[in-house]
Amino acid sequence: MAYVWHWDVVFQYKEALLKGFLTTIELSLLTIFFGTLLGLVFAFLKKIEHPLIKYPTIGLLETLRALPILVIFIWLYYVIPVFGILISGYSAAFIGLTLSLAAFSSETIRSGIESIPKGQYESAISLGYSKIQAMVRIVLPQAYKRILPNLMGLYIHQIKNTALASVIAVGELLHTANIIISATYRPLELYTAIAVLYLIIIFPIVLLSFYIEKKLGVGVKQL
Amino acid sequence: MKNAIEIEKLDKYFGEKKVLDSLNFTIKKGEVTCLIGPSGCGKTTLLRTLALLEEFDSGMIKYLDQTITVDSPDIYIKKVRSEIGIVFQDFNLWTHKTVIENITGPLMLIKKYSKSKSEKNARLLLEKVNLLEKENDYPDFLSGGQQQRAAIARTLALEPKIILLDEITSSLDPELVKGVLTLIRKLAQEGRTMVLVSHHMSLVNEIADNIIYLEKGKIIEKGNISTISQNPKIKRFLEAF
Repeated sequence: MAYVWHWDVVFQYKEALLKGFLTTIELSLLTIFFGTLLGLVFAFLKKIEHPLIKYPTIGLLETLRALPILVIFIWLYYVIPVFGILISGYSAAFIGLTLSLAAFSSETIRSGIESIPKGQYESAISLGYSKIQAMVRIVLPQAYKRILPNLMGLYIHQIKNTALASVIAVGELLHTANIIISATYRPLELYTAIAVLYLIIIFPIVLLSFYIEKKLGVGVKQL
Repeated sequence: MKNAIEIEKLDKYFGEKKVLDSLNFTIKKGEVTCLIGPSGCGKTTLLRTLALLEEFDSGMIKYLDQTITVDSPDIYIKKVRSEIGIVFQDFNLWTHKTVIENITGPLMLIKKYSKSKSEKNARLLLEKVNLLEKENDYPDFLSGGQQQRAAIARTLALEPKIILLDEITSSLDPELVKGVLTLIRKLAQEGRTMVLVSHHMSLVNEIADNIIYLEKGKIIEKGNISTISQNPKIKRFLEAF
């Protein structure tokens, strides 16, 4: 017997789905912003030769890169309250996603910075630029052209990873769909609907990354 | 004549290896000094140390009125750097900026010039190095010779009291060398204090007031060409070019 689709369920719960959709976007944007910022900080901390800074940073980053995000979420959500600190699902997801993106983006940023020939930095220093001025005005504007396309890939993963927050009851798209399904028993319609909503978020970012890659060719000789 | 650079007992190590060995010499203001010697003798390391891009392990370098030792704070090092200009073998123009932006950037940041004053100065220099028509091009679209002339213009823009030139023709095809050498001759005629590392012996002969011959990080001879070529080892080295 052919499956009978009941799309009216999706429209019936459109307000709840919209709220979940907005929560997914909010969680994505916030964690992308803070994760990239923290990634930049980690990238510079890793470059500091002091053993008390360099090695703890590497240890933390490798731990974050090794652990599945789901494990980080669950650990934050269930273990932190043991130490007397109450943490909401949203906060646990925010911290977990931010730290995870920071760990991966720091490596992308570090390799982007190191791909810029040393002479670019040295020539700025020799002209009297401070180390920070040389980094901000000379190295980073060149490095971001190499960093950004890779970061865009990480951002797309980050948006998809927000769905894992459903496990700790964050009211994002997947969790919202699961709640509606438990009341309506229409999983196919709802999972299809949220798949479309994820595509609505991710497709513009894919297009943006194509545009950025094309745009960033300015000033670089095409071989 | 006043000294532009005085070096005393300068030592530098790379790991266990001593690459600059108890160097002593002075360079007078307005003099052109050439560093020569076989590959790996420490010429480029010495030049980079003079530019304070390399740390040294002992001794001192006095630039005009500022003495730099191993313990000198960053503020003194930055002050000296602003009075020295170095031109690199690989040009090191900033690839994300146009030719004119490469020159106006440091003028606005270091000299605190306005944009219009920086552009006016940059255009005068680009005219001097014969690159005015390339002011809006990105470095990657210039020939090696053009890039090197643009790099020299960028260095000159900050009016350095001492100019260091590190094998500036080594990365260039022979047909592009001529324009750069003409420019260096012009700078020498202007009475600028310059220290250059070069394998272009005809240029060295022509413009050097002083030549320092290095081997294994030590100064073997210093003086003018006729003095140093009395040393049979240096004579053989010079004859090889």
